[in-house]
Amino acid sequence: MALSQNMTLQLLADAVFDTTGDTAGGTITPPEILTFLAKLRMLEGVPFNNLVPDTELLPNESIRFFYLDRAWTDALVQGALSVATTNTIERGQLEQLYPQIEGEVDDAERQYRAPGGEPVLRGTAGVVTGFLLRSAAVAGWPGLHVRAYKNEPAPNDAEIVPESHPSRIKLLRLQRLSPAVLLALFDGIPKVLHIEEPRQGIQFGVNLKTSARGRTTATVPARNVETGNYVNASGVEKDLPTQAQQIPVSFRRGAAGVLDLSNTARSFAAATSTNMSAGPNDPVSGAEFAMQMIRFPYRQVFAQNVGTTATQNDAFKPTLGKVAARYTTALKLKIAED
Amino acid sequence: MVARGKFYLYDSIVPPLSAGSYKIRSTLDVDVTDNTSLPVAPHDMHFNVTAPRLKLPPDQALMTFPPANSEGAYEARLPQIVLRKRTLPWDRRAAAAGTVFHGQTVEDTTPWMALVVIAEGEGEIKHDQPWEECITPPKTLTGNIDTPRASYLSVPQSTVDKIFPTVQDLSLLTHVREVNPDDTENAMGDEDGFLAVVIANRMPQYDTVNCKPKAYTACLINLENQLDVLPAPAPPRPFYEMADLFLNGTVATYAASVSSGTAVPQKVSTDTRLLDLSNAGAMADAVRRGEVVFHNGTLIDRAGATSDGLNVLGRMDSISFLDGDFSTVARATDAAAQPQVRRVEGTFSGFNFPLDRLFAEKFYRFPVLTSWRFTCAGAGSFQQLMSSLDVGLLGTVAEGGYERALPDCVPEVTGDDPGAAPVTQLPLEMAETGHVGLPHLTRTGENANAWYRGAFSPHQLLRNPLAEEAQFPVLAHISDHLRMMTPDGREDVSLAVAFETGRLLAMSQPSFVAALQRWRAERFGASRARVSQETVFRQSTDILGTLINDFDNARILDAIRAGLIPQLLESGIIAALDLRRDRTISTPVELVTPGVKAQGLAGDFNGFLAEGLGMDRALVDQIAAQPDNLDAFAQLQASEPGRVSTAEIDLNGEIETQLDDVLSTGLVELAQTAIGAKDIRADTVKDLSDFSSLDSFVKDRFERN
Repeated sequence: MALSQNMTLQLLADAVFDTTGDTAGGTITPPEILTFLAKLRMLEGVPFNNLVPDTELLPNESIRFFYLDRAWTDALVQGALSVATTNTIERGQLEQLYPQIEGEVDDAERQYRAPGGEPVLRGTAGVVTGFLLRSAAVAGWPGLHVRAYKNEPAPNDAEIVPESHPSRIKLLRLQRLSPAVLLALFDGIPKVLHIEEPRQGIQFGVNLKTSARGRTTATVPARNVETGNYVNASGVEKDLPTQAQQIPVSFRRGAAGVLDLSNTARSFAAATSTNMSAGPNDPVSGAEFAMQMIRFPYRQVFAQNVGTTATQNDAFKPTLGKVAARYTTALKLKIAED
Repeated sequence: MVARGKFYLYDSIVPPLSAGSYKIRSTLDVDVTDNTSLPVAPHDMHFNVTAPRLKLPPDQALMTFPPANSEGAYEARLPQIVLRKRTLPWDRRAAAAGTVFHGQTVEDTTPWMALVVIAEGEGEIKHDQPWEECITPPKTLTGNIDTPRASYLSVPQSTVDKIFPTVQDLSLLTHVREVNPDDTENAMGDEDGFLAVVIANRMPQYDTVNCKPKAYTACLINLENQLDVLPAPAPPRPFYEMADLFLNGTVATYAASVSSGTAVPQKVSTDTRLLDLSNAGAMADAVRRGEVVFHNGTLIDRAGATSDGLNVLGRMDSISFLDGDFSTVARATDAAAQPQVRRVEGTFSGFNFPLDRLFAEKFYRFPVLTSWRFTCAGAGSFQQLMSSLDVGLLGTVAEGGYERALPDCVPEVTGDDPGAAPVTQLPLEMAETGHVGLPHLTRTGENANAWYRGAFSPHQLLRNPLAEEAQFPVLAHISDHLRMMTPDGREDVSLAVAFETGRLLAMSQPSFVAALQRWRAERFGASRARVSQETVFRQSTDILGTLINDFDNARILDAIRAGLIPQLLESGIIAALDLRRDRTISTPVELVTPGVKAQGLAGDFNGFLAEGLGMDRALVDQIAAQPDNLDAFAQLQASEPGRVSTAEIDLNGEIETQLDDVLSTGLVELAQTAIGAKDIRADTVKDLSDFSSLDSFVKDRFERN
């Protein structure tokens, strides 16, 4: 038989078995059952009492790390599969198929949480770890960012690498079980864990200092608006906000906490290290002002071996181009084209 | 495209056309050399550029900080709102560019909106008002209005002067942020990645003077035509004082009474009331009704508010208040001389109190696009909470318990240490493996104590815990399969509980149970058959080759694409079956099964027939040889008349005769049963008439004979 003919026949065989109703997408378990079992593996719907049998295990304002007991979750799945087995034949069939079902559920549980723009990870289930966080922070800051790393990220990591990056550990589940309790499950053993204030909202603010006489002053660490890095008075870039030049903030007379923006902006521009536009024809702009006022979300770092956690708290760093001229011009062109 | 986790900031994005109505006029000049050109009518086209004006559509506000209705430490942060449409702050003009207010020039990039943060007592928000009333009279808004009823913020001159931004500040408070739209953390559901941000100019302060939380409302206001109201630039100060927390005495009194919950007027009548402080009985009634309250040594009339603020009746000490002796107050203030008391519309709380009744200042109205409330509680910032967390593996017992973070101004509790709380329950029995001892009522009714551990463990565990030592069931069918005994003689029911939990969760979803049953019924067998078929099919492609006659790659590929595989194989299969018919289909059976041969008829059959029927032998032979030839039959009939004859049977006639017989007999019998034995003929039927009653019917039918 000619080679091409043989290949055509293989193709034919493939086509025949595609049409004979292989609807489960390559799995023997029907998709709806697989989804249910994967959710069960991720402990969805399991009463919290069964997970944490006593309040002493999770007191107020605490975080508790753990390993997921695979035997326990397997028992959950077996319990679900045992429903509607009425006779020995069915149990025998289930016993024969169980190893394969188990493998398919291992695969499916990684697809339980699929963040947008990230490739779906596959593979057999390994060690699953996680934590339970019970704190007022969970209730007050919905949308906390939880990131787990295999290796400690660089002390001043500007990039947030995507979850599929090899240095990251995939989150299998991140859910608020109650207003103040957060459950996270990881696909591996993280070395470093970051819990960060919600980033939706880069915030704007100052550093306050209250004197004994009840007077409050405020400063802002200087930033070079062209690079986004902190700078000291002589224009040398610094890693930490505490090392940067501290620019005083002006307030309006007679009202506590109301900023005098124009004068504050003038003192920003007066600090030459910030590289801000100055002069009567080029006043301080909104973007430059915002750049100086940006305060970064607080990041709590949990690490197995205590490292440079102090420097990681302020590690989130924006990048800013030559704002005043280039991008505004480019954008105006873009709008004009439309 | 902006990288993930990064963003660009733009000063402003001013749209080429601001909101309003526009007309495009196109004209055409035709010049012809011989001067015969005719004018061409101009063509006009009208269009509107729309933008929110008095009300922010809910999808436009992507995020607010501080979160709406939240409570926390926001002292060092500026409130802000993130808007979806990048040009929104510049879609309108608050004033024409080039106009000068207080020495500040309005630019193209000056936004028409501002975010102002007001505390209780500094302004009033009125919702659901006609849009014409939402701006300080006599100013008006011209052009298209996006909503007939809107909200407005009513603020006195002093509030505007102290906390509103200046014209110059406005452009510093707005900017545009460009982020990666795939970065859900930064884009917040925006589709193009450009977000407009409006920041407030005021950091909400905690009331450290009274050590009380302070409530604020952030309002995104429309400044159209009202830029002149904004304060003039003033010399700055490098600090602020907590004494300035309240803009003036009225605001302070008012805010204190709101937060203490005592002296806010609840209902006010239009009439001036007379409150006779010398009449102790009437005063006691007023106190009982809640109209008059005693707060920090001051007697206040809750039912009214004056132009000076709250209706303070005077000061008195608590002892005389408890004694019901109001005479000391009467000397201080004359209740009858109180200024007029006015009506307060509806119910109100901190931010919709009619301040214009209290302040003798000019009030301004600004349309509010959106507003939200939050409370500055002085403690409990994210950093404070996170860094004071109790960290440990599951199973760590926290010593000493948890203390809520309090603001610095809260005085420390002094005195003797009250000691630990009394122990009300036995300490939790916790094993190093993460198991806890829990009471267990066994099936036999015995009160025991069993070990239990949930899905979380402080140690890394094997997936199959007993694989090495004992044959663990591959698959448990009932929860008892998973009960285990521990070395200390107590039972470990962890896995059994997990099994039962899974079973109950599955049974709680009828759709899942149905899916399982369907799977068993349909797929288990079908799947097995399919696997075996596929194995056969794949391992013997040569069979396929023989099934397809005149093999042509292109034709087969076409058939696969068109899904005509059954048709492709059909003729091949039929041909193959037909070729080996004896093996595939079996030998064909003869059409008629012969009966058993009568022994006596063996031999000369025609002879026997002719003899038996008494017919001519030659004729029988002739009929047997030529059954089609009717001549032999005619001869047979002629030779033996009577035995063989031609007769016509009139089937139809037969049936009709028999039917008539049956019908006539049957109908007569039927009629006799129903009507009686009287002779029924056509003329007797005529006699029948309607019956007027049942009685006459009975009489006619049953008493006729």
